[in-house]
Amino acid sequence: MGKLFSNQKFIFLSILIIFAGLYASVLLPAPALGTVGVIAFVLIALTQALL
Amino acid sequence: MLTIYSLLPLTALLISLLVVKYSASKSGALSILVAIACAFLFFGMDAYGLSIALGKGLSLAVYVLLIIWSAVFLYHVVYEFGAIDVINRNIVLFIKDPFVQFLILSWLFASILQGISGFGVPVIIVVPILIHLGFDPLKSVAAVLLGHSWAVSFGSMGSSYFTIFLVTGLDQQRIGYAMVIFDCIAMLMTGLAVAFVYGGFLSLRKALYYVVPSTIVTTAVMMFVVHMDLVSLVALLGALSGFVTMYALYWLREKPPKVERLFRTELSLVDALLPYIVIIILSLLFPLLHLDRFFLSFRFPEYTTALGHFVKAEEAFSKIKWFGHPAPISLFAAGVALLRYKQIGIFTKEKLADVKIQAVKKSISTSITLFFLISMALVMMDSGMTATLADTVAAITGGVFPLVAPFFGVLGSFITGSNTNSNVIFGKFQVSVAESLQIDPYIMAALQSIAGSVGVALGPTNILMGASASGLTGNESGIYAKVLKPVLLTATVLGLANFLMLTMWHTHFGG
Repeated sequence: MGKLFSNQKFIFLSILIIFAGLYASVLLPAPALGTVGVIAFVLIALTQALL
Repeated sequence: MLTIYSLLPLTALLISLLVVKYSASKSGALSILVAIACAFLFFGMDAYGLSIALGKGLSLAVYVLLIIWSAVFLYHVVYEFGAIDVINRNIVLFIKDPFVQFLILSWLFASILQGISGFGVPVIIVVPILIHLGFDPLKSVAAVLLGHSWAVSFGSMGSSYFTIFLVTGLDQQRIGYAMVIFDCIAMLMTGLAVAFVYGGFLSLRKALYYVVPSTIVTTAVMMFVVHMDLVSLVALLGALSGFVTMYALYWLREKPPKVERLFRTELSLVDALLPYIVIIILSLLFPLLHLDRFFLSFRFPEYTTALGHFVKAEEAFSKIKWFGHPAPISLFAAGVALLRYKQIGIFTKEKLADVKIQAVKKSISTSITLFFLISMALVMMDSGMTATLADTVAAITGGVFPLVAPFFGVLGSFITGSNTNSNVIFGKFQVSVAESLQIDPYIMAALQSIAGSVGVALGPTNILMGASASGLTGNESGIYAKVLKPVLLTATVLGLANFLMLTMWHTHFGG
């Protein structure tokens, strides 16, 4: 798991996917999807801050 | 109390970068976490507001990253196939005087490279050339770090310039005009700083003959390029005109012997310059074709925090014009260069694979850091943190703020190593303070960008690259010692000019 989250390509792609999710949540609008997107972004940032 | 909370994300960034010495991406991750926590807990921003702010931040990051990725890719195409070497060797053929070599290479040639690529490339390319010519390694690093810093804000195909108007939401061209005025001062100061590094006060007098006219011509050209709205070419054409002016002055004074044969490999000088010629042609051509209707942009709804901070809806946020954004132009130029290399017979799939690997390697870490930092800036802006901070700073510093404002730009670049990041962190803040003090926001935004540009000379990434390019790894403190005073002096002069423009001459770009 640690190896996966220290892979910069994986992090980069994850952030792009989260961005797509966040933007879709704002456009639709789908607040629940937005909340999931924010939580996912926080988790990605947490892994980068802790690893 | 809210002011203290609004300071926390920036404090976290500063401490993690400077005290704990975490990497930029780790520090960026920490500071976005702090920003989200503060926005949620103290500024009344719920998950919906956060999803809008993060969506905006990431869309802005995509805009800037497209420029960075394409510029880095183009640079590696040119580097791996040997075109940069052809350009370098030809410059040295034409100039024999060591002082002129030192000044023109570190102040103007490095700035041309900054106009094209940036991201440490001028340091990596020019420092070894200077050392190869026999100059002292420490002086070479310091000169290139200082010399190209004036061109950073308009450089890298305009990524920092695009960022400052995206972050502040101000009119691009008006910021551009104000930036050119401050950049004139920065260029003059950095040119003199390079001369000082070469030979102390004795060299300053000799430098004036070259530095003053070259700065005047460059400023005029940059003003014209901004007026023509060729935003990604401002640094490149400005530095090129300065380079030609300085060479003309050298030729008038020294009358050097005629160069019999240009240096070439399989590539001629024209082949080596081909991608840059294509960039200039396309940048001139696209605005004439009126293709502005082909673009990609993002829509975001309005939002109000629980504390009543209102964020207006955005209909076309982070607008990426397919025939105006620097990325398609750079990629097309790279494609043309690759076709030419294939025609000459030097193209190999292995080299192209190397180019891709190097471009990804160089860009990916910067990209993640930018995602975090730009998101942090947008969360701070949309939650009302930036406005709170700006109101407090305006109240404390009052009329003196224009004098100290450049130091925020320098600080941003010092801690993040990037003018773009400095603009992201402090761009909106400077404009908000300007609005609180009722002074021209365009001048303050421009000052932020140019001060950030000069501050890049102190950026940790650049210093480390300079140390490794010159074999001075472990002596980074020596490099800092050479660069620090000229940067602080330039920031002071920029602050004085800003103060005079705003308070004495009441200069106004706001329309």
